[in-house]
Amino acid sequence: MAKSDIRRKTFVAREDLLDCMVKIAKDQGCSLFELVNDLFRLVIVADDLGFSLKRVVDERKILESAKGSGFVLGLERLWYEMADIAYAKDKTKALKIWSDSGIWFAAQYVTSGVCSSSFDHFKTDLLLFTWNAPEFDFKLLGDKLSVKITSPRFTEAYTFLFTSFLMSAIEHFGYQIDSKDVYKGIIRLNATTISKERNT
Amino acid sequence: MVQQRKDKKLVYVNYALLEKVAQVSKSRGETITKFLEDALIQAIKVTTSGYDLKQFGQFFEVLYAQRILGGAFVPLDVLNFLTDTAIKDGKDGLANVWFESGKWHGKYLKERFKDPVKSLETFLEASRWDLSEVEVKQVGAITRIRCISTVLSEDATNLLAKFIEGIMHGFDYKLQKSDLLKGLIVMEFVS
Repeated sequence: MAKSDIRRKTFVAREDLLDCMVKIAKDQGCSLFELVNDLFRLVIVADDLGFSLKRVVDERKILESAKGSGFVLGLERLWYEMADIAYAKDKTKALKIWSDSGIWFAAQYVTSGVCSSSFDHFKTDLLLFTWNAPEFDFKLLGDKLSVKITSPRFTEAYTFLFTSFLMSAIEHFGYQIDSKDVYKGIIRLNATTISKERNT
Repeated sequence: MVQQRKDKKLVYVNYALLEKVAQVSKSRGETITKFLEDALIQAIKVTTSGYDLKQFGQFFEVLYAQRILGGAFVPLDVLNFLTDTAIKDGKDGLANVWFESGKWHGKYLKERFKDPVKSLETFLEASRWDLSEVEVKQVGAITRIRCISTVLSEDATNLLAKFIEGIMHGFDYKLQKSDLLKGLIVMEFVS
């Protein structure tokens, strides 16, 4: 349909917001009409999926954070099958790779320079990236940390590999693991802080 | 506190879209004015974070599909290790696992999206940022897919190609031609 054939209607909106939209449209090389239509399409798509636009906007953080942290999104069944094969083939190396990744992941937050909230950011992002685990509980009580993860879909190998990732990440924040109870799909860790600098 | 009255302005919009949005606001029990004001605030947030709204909508749909399909995040280094180790166990077996996973994705995307082939492009762009370029083109009956990555190993390239082949198989397309090199996938399919 030609642009001129599109039936138009006006709506009233706050001038300050529309001024912002005009500037954005200019920056993006489109008209305000096109930009607002794109917004409306997004509202409709979100509603079709049962979400509000605010929720959609908030969820963008998942992909942004994952990308920044070097995580790739794929089908969990596929990851589990490959983890099983790799674990059976070279358990030591597999655990080491996951452990190194845990250190690397934690290091981003430890070295972020925002000491007061680095552990909170780490926790929040980890929670986002582990959306496939129905139970993910990180509790801080004084100098004690307890982690509870439960996922009926985790294979045994994946459970142990992910535990290796978690333990190294937590240790990198200055915690010492006091106890661990790991079973297929169940991870329970208890730790105590040994360094006040990293995890405050 | 007395709320300061903000100046208002009129803006043109596609009539059909406005009607649909009015229905959405009604179903959520909000006035259209308040609903649109919130929508504009969110749109400004999105665009100032560097997205365009079209791309943002597509990304969200993909994220939603991944949640339904059982998507999981894995560190890229871990993925590379898993690929390298698992491939030694038997290339054909692992390739088949990726193909079957692709087929499963394909069946869902076909049902979920009006234009599943187009959704594949967004799907790959949103979930595989180790790909520096993704292109899905339809020319007549032929669908051509091209992916470029500077970080993919040869084995990882082959497995990703198998995954894409599986997805296209799920769309009821058949592989006609395939050129694979380390970090480069060029495939053609016919429906």
